Amino acid sequence: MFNLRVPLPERGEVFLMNTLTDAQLIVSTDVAALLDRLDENPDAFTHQPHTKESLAPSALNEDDREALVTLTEHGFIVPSRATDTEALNKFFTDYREDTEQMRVTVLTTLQCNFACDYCFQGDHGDYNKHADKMSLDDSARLAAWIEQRLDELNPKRLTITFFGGEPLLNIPVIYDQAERAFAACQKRGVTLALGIITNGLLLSEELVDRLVPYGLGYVKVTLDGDRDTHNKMRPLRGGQGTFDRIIENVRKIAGKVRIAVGGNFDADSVESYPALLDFLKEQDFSDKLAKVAFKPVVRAKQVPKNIIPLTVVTDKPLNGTCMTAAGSGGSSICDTCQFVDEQLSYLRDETKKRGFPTVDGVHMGPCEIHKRHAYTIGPNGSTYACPGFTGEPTLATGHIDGRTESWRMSAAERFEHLAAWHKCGDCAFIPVCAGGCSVASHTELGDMNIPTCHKPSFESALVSLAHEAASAS
Amino acid sequence: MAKIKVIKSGKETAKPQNYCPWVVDSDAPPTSK
Repeated sequence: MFNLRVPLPERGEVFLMNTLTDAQLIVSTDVAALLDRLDENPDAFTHQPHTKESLAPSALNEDDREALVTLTEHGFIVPSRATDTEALNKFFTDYREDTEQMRVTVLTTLQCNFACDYCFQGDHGDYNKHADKMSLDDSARLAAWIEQRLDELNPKRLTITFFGGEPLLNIPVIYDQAERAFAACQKRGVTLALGIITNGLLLSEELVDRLVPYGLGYVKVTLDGDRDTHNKMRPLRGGQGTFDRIIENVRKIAGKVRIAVGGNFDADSVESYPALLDFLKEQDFSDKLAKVAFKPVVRAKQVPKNIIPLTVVTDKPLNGTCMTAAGSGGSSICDTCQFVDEQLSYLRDETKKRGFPTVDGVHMGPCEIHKRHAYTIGPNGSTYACPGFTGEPTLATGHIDGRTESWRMSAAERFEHLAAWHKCGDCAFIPVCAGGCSVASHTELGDMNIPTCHKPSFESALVSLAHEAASAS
Repeated sequence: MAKIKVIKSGKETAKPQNYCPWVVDSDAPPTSK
């Protein structure tokens, strides 16, 4: 059920991948043909599991027998479909209940100094006057809550990601959390890793120098296309451009910490990304970029006439979260998915062409919403299933003070049973997709249990993965 | 002649981890290498 293949005719070989075991093989065509024979007649080679002893010498030569044993060992041959289903359920259960790593995303504030017109915050007027900001008292309470979880779970690693709004608008809370988490981890022998997802405007050497000793390993900034396009897409609230300052800030911290560059594209901006990539390639920090990856914009509410809507237009924006981009709608509902999938592949290829590390486009899930011990904490202490839902207070799943209003419990119950992949049939990509982005399903399709499907993007990424594996082997 | 080259073993238990590939970040959390 989870076997995928990409023919490599120029080499007379076939790339095989099993998405559940993550096995990747390059095999001769006769091995692929052997799998076909088995598919057509599952009982052809006597009993399973396939071991050298169980395979009848009369039906197979030595080579075939060895090949079947290897394919079985890597998960390409299983006794039955029920075995696959059982293994998939175990995979998701293990993923959900894993305690090796505890993850916390801290929204230091919902305020932002940018006014991106596509942002799900949407409000640009006096929004910041009312948007939540975490106080140092709440930060202390959060630190105590984290310590309690550490004692309950006893993880090997704690990962804290600072997010917003714009997290650097509340630097005192970042320092407070980092110092407290560091002390708590030192005391318990837990490895601490910190990351910041920021618009990059307030990034500084001072900030990075102060946080690196505590475990800061990663800063992500967003650039939406070349200079002009970015300045149009991500201006300050006063309308001024932000590109030059972000680039200067990145230059200052390059080499001190891993830097990832993201970007949110739409139909109008996508063509400017190759110019951005060329620009980044020319910079003295280009070899310090740990990852470059772009995603489609979700546009909520009204879409200007000259823009192709990338998603189903919704009147339910997730106000309050800097949810700058999300997956597009399911293929049966969203008629522009093909556009998004094509552009995702195009930008991935352009990024690779210039030698930047990027996502492979196949391993896109399951995301952390499917992990029980991955927590998102809003500025007021509410807990959420993932960062994308933080703008909808009614979808808070709890609170760090332990309060248990019925509406929170009911939201928690909804997320507890989240399994959109149950509607994905026999799709071989389920283990690396999990039904797509639940936030996109919720906002675009009105039901977080409906999958958002990007199968064409996965398929084209698989072909790239196969050819890269072939050229490296 | 049957030939199999293992690019990535399916016997490993550690699988790729994702943070938020579609919304806030493009794949792995800061701890990933």
